[in-house]
Amino acid sequence: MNISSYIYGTSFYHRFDVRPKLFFTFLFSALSFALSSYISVALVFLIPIAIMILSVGGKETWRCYSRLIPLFLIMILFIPLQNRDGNPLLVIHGFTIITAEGLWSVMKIISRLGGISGVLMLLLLTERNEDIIKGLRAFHLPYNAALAASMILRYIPYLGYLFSEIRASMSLRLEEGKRGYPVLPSITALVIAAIKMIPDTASALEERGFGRVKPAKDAIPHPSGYLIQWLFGAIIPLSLFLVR
Amino acid sequence: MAEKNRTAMRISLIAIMTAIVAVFTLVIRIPSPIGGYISLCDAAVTFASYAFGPVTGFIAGGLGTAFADLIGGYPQWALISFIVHGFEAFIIGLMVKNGTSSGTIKSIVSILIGTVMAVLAIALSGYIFSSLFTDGSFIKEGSEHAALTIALSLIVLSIFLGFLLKGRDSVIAGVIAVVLAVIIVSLGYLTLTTLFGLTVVSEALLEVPGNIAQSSVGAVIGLILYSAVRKGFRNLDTLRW
Repeated sequence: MNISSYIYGTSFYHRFDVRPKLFFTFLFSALSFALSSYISVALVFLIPIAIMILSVGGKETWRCYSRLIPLFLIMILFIPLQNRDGNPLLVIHGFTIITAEGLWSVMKIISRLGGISGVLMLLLLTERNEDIIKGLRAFHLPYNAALAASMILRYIPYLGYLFSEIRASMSLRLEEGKRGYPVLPSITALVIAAIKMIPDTASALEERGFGRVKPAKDAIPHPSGYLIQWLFGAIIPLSLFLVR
Repeated sequence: MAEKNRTAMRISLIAIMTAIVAVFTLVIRIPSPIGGYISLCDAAVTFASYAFGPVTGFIAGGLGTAFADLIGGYPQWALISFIVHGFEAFIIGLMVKNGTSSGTIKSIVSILIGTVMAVLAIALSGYIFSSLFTDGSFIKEGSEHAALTIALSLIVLSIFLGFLLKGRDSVIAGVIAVVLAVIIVSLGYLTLTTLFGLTVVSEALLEVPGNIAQSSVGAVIGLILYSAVRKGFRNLDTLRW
């Protein structure tokens, strides 16, 4: 079970340090709520797409955004019908299909959803999970929380693999010709196996000095162009706020 | 030294239970009779809070579903899942005394009654606000604000009742725990997706029945799972904190 979305690359966004990348992601997501013009709406939607195409290619970008298409379609269908009071833009046989206010609403919501999804997916595609945790440590995420997060990322694929083994063995217990697997015995076996790992994991942590040895600081060296990366991470989202 | 031992045990417990919730959300799916799949995330969340208490349930339930959203390609819902499922687990954990509910049969009856009550509560809220604030059409702009107000009020009331009835081991507490959990999940997603601007109320309402079904089925399975795991791992209560 692969839980990492990371795709190796040498694009400019891949070479960014994780700290300005995190800053850009959160600031862009926050300022996407401050849209005030059609230009800013378009920029919020298109900037992540453009960066993603340059970083991981068009095929991967399409794969990421195609999951959102059903949601966009539902929004296009429902939102204009809820905003039919205002300046009509399209009227068919006396029935107002869409108004200017409805169009603004639907564009704002789609842009925000696409923009926030895009920058978050961009972060996961261009940065390894462990590097993201290191970056969060630089923003003062507590050591215990970072330790728990890295353990979670180790255990998810292992427990996923364990479940597939349990499911395969449980399916052998079914009668000849029957498909599937007994759900409750399988998930019970998985949970019991996982709980039995807890004391052993705690012992392993203590053997490695947890609680006795002060954790070393994760010092990430500053790459070249570090200041420029921070400026990029700040200027682009702020420009959305300033565009009128 | 004993405190450090407990910290290592707690970190291990939280990490493994969070991973369990994520695996239940991502990997374990039951085909739904109406098409699609039912995810067992609510079963894992309910189990974590029944077995290990409200704090572990909150962290494992919230983080597990958030990680599942991040890994599964839906990062925009990670924060909302964290809040909704975290509070769902917190309230269930508060309502259950020392990890034992009122017996399997009584609790299953509680869950079924709770689900019906939650559906009635949500339907009644919808009828009241659509009657008061619309001119016959289902949703208009003013009633969207009313819907959000009612949803937020119900969630706050849920959390207040959860604290008020903390630790009462009875069928009534079980019923209220399930009503609160189903309300928090269904209305929580409705409220937060619209407040965060990811969608509008009318579209979010379409997902309420599915969320109600998934959370109530998940609660039943979580309870049965808890009873089954306790038979296989008798020292389960030693891990509570």
